[in-house]
Amino acid sequence: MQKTTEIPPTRILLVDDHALVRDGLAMLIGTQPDMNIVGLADSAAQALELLENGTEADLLITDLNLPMVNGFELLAEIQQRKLQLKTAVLSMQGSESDVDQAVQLGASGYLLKSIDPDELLFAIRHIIKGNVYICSESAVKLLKNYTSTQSKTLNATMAVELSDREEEILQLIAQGFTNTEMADRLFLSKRTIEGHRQSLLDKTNSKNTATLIRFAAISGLLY
Amino acid sequence: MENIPKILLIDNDRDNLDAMSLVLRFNKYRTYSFLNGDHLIERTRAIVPDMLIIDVLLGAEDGRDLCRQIKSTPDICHIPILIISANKSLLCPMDCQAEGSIEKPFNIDHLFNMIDAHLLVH
Repeated sequence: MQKTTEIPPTRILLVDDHALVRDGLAMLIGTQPDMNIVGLADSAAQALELLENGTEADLLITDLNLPMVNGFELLAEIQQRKLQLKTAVLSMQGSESDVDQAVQLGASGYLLKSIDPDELLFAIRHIIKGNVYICSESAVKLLKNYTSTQSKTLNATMAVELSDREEEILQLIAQGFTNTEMADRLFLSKRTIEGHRQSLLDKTNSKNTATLIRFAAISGLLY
Repeated sequence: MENIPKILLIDNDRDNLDAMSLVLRFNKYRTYSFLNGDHLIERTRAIVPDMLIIDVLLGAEDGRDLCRQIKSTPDICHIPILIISANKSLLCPMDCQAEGSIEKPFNIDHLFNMIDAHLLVH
C-alpha cells in the first residue's frame, strides 16, 4: 500500500505596525493552500507575547521599522531566547548593512516591500526548505556594490607599477626569504635589496611586510 | 498583454503610500506612487492610470486642488479619483469632483470595494 505523507502548511506570524500591510499580506498568503497565518502582531512585544503564549509558527516575517522595539531587536530577542522558528525581514529599506545585520541576527530572508507577490511566495517556500533568500532587488544592489568594490581594488592595483626587479623581490618576500638570502640569490647588495623593499612599501602604500603581502595577494601580483 | 488596472497614488506619508501600494500590487493592480503632486498632469498623461487615489493633506498642497486640476484637464478628466483623509470634514468629494472618498484608517475590504465600484463605472 502506498503511503502518502501530507506536508502541513507553513505557519506564519506577521509583524508590521501598519494594519493595511498586515491585512494585505494575510490576504495574499491566506490564498495559498500550503501556508497558514497563525498570528498578526503590530509590535515586537506582541509578537513575542504570541510566541511565548503558545502560538506555534514556522516563520516570522517582520518589518524593521516597528514602534518601541525595532525589527532588528526582535530578531536578536528571538535568537537569544532560542525560539525554534525561521525569520525573515520585509522592509522598505534594503541597504547592504541592513541585509547584513538581519542575516547576522539569524534571518533566513530579506525581502523588500516592493517585492512582487509571486516572488514573496517563492521566497517563503524557499526559506522553509532551509535556504536563505535575499529578494532580487536587494541581491542586485549587493552584487553591484560588490562589483564596484572589486573594481576599485583592481583600479588601485593597476595604478601601482612595479619594476621587474621589484616584482622579483616581491615574490621572494612572499616566499619568506630574508634580505640577506635575497641579496645572495640575486647577486645584489643587502642595501640594494632594502632599497627595493622600501620602494615596494612606498608604491603599494603598505605599512609593513604583512600589509605588502596582503596587498599583493588581493591584487593577484603573486604567482 | 495582461490588462492590469493601473492606479496612481499620491500621499506624502511614506508609510501609508507604501502600505497602499503593497496591498494593491498584491491584489493584481499596478501602482505608481508619488509623495507629492509635482507634474501631476504630465505624470497622469504619461501613465494613463485607471484611477487616482489622492490624500487630501499633502503638506504644502491640498489633494482636492490636485483633483480639481485633473478634472479641469479635458484629456484626463474622465479618470476616476478617490480622495482619502483621516479628517472626515475634508472628505466632500463633490467639492472637488472626485468620484468618491475614503476615511482613514480604512480596512482593506473597503478600499477594494471603493476601487472596484468606480473602476467598473468607467
